[in-house]
Amino acid sequence: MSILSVQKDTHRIGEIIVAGPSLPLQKRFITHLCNEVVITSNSTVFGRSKITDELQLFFYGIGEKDLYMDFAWDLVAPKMLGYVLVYNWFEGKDFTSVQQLLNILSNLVDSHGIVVGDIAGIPMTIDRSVYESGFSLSSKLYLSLWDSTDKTNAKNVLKILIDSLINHLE
Amino acid sequence: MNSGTQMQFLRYLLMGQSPATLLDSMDAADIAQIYDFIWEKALEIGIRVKGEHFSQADMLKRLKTAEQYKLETGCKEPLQRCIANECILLNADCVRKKYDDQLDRLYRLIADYLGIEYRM
Amino acid sequence: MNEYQAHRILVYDKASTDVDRLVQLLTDSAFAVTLIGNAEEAFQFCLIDHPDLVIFDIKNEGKESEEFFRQVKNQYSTHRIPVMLTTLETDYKKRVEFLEMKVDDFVAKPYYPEEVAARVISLFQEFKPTTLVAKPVDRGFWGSLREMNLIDLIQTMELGKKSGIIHLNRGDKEGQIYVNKGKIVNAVVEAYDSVERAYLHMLTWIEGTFHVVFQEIEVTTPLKEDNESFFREGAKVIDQWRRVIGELPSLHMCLAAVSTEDAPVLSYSERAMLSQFQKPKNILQAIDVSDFDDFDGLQVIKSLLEKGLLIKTDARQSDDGSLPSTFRPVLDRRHRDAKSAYSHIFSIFQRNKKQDKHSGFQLSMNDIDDEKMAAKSRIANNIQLTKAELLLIRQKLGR
Repeated sequence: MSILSVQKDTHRIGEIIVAGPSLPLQKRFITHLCNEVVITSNSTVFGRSKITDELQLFFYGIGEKDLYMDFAWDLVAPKMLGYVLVYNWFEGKDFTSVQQLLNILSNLVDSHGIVVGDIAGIPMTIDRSVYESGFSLSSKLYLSLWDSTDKTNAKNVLKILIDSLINHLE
Repeated sequence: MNSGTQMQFLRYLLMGQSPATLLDSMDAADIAQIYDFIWEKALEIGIRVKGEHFSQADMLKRLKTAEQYKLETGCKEPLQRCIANECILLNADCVRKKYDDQLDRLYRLIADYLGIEYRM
Repeated sequence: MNEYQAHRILVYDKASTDVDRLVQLLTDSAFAVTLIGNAEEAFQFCLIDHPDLVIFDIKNEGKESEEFFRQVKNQYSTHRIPVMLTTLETDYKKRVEFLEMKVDDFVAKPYYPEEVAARVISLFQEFKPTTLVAKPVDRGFWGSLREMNLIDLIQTMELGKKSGIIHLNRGDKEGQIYVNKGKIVNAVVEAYDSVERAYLHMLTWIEGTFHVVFQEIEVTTPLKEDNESFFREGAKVIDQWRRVIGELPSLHMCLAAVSTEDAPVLSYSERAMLSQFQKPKNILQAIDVSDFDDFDGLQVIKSLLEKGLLIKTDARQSDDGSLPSTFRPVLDRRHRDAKSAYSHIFSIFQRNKKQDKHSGFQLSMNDIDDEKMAAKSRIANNIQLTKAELLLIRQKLGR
């Protein structure tokens, strides 16, 4: 029997792209979810989150607008689990920027994604239960709010993305 | 309807802001589409806020029926044409006006549900 | 003080009378300086510890210094280290020869200390890692195998469907993995005659360096196995390898055979391996020169150690596998290596703008004005994890 025919499957990786107009927000989002984060010199963030010994999630924060416009989506998109677009909910300019990126991505990539508006500690008058499970924009795309000052909040965002993937496989 | 536009309307909905400025640059067909989208989101929000006490009939009461709208405009066309938006090519302005109003009503309703102030 | 303080400088100089002055000068300028007088040790230091700059004197033993310089510049993992030459040589032609050898800077002796310090800083500025990353022609990346093992590297190339050669260096040995459009097509390492064996052998290189060079690969005989098979087996080998070396002293530790009168009965494998240690060797060297596969060799050595037939010797390598104590302590570069590697992973995914204009993938609003056109070129996405794996993630995230 060939040594290469062993069936044990290990080292499974799910990759998630994090983009948006603000690198610090991407960094914060990834940091809240990962035990290991590396910020590189060219405005990119890499994070690794261990789920089990065999399964990991990799997060790639791709920095400023100039960088994500050059990002080779056609190379990464076919295999990624999905993308997360983070921006400041109250900042109109950021919203326009993320709106443009979303238009581009949703037309270019047939992938699951979530757009997350950061409410950064500003108490929303809306009850959290209204937005914490997100709003679907299409079968693969969601909008949600996120409080970047609350470390546990990023998990909610990821839950929405993962639930969307699970529903898709059902 | 692209996702960016949907997101814009949803953002205004959650901020209690009137969508009127967003509608200015849209044609009647797009407005009809966005209305369907916002109607769905309104239902979602209604269910999340009201839970077991949610009633779709209560929501509908706050909106204008096609019959009422026809009466107000003095339109002589069959009611079914108005309900199915069949006039969208022949009389786009009328369809547009109908949805402008309906969206405004829907946005006000959601602002009430969310307990936020509605801003024009 | 300067912005490059704590950068590490290797001074390779055997016999210069003024070397102490140079070292003192650089230390005073807040650099971490390591002085080594032996060419081989100096090269090993470059391989394992990657100084930020090498300064060497060509006068000592001429050829040995030249050979050291060529080794540094010809080795993938070290060729980017800037090298500065100091010499008493006054002959013009000889100086030109040095420059033709592509030293990065040249300081004639006697020198003013301030001049050397200024030139060192100037070299650091010129060789800033960010400058290297930004070079559009440089599509390769490099780093430490501790941070990214071979499987990680291949998966990265598979993700981007990249073609190129992964050059690996364990310090004493080099090997190459050829990848065509993300698929392994060949693996080459000295003394391993098949692709599978070479690949499995290189998987055990958990320390060392890598350098990925992107280029087109000509495929002569396609392999039957796909990457998944390689990964499956690879993960198993790495796991086993780590487990066994965890039970052993450092792989760099020198061992020698012990001759005892009442030696226990040994198997053929044990006798064969023991014969390798008639002269002291480290564990890796012994496995390399033996006929054993890596894993089997390691098992046999473990058994010999347990039976007390191998003992540690006073050797060049220290017990913990680090370099001899003559080296000064230096900063831990692991973190910086990781940054560099990840930084380069990202560089793979950064498109060359020029190329985009032709490929039609440049992202701009203009390209999607017509939604139907955009929909036609929509990239399909396949969820790579199973539903069970997604449920595991979901469970970890909590309710």
